[in-house]
Amino acid sequence: MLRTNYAVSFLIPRLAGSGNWQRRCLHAAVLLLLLWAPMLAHADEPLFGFTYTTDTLPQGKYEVEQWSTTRFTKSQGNFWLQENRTEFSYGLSNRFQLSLYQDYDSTAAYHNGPFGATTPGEPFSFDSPDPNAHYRGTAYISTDIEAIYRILSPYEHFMGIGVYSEARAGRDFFETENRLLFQKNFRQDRVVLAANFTYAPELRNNRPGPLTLNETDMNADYGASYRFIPNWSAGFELVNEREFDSWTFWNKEINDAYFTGPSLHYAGRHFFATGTFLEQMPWATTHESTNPGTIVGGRDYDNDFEKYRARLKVGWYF
Amino acid sequence: MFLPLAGLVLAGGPAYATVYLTVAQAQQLMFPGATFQQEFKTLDHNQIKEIEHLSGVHVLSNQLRAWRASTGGWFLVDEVVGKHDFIPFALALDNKGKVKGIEILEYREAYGSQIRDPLWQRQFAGNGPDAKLRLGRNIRNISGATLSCKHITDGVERLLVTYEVVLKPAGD
Repeated sequence: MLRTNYAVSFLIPRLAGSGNWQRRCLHAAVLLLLLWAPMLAHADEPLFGFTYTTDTLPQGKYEVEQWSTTRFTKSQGNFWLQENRTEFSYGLSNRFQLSLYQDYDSTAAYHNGPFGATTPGEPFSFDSPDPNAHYRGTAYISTDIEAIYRILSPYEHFMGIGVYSEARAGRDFFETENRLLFQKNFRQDRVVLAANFTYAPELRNNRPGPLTLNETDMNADYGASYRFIPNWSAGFELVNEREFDSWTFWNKEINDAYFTGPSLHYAGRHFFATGTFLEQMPWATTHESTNPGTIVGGRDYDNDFEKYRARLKVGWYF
Repeated sequence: MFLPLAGLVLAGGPAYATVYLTVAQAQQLMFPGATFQQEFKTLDHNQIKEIEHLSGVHVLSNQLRAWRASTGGWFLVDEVVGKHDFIPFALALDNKGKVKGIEILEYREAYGSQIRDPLWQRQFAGNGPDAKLRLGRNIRNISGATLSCKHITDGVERLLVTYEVVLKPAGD
């Protein structure tokens, strides 16, 4: 009702009245969204942009998600990387969810890397442009399969525990990502704390030749969220990403970066949207295998790191 | 530019709800032929603390919506937290303060509406506050509707204790 009142009392007069065309287009888009939203429906949507909870789809239910992640700003030059993901998930049982998705990205880079060399982001590391080139690229990146199994439910047990495993295969790389998921709820499940610990070894080919071991990612993601009014949750995330030049994670460390920032989540009955904005904190330090010139001002600017990340996820449940 | 977005936030009420029963319909379903005397109450701080202590459930609102049935017993309307929105429900108590029946009035979630299953709801019948209702202990869960089951169970337990603390006649 409030939604309809808003549409009638605020948007429609503005659409009918005078005003510049951009503002009228924006009002029209919001009006369409408001009128469309009641027809959308909603369930196990993500509260966070980067951190997973242990929730899975109920058996026999499915969802479609669209992710958009923009990564931008290096220590110098120009850089942006637009990562896109289209995902389909299905609840095989009430605690086991399977997903299939495709990643496809676009990027631009110029004099952004160590010592001013043009350096594409990691998804485009199969390319080796001239150090002075204005690099632009759009590419299919990978096809991925992901499984989440919930061992304990935060609604029935002391805390939620789950395991996550993903296999990604794409142009010149193969990666598995394995997470332990933890979730603890408070205040009648309106306050959610979540933590993920990730082991992700990958084979990558930076130059022509066979796939060789490139690195292992060890990440720790933390999130806290509070449902402040029905349908809306606000939260905060802290992401620590570490890379190792090895299968192991106790030597040959390359990078160690911390990102943090707010998240906002809306869930309707069959629709959700989650936005997160992260900034890299100046907490990076040099390690045994750190590439020269990648740490500037306490931030890590190697090819898989940048200053800002913004992610928007939208999804529909069926 | 941000005004429409702020409006969207303010408009973030239930996008869509399935209304199963109005309050009047639930009253007639649970107490056929009865008339009702409204006895709404505002819980004070001490009552809230006692209810939370005895039930182990957080009290969401200090407003108690209660009606006394002419045929004996009480009709209570309350709501519990759902996955995304509140779940309004009605609880009928007999004149001893034991559960006579439950009805879900409205459901705004995509999944979990299995809590309307009469077989599941029948588990509550005859229980009083001494039963200490807990999901998985004396109330069976419905897989795929766990959060709704848990919160309805907690909500019933809280209202049973509320009856004891607030509505039960002295000396009973």
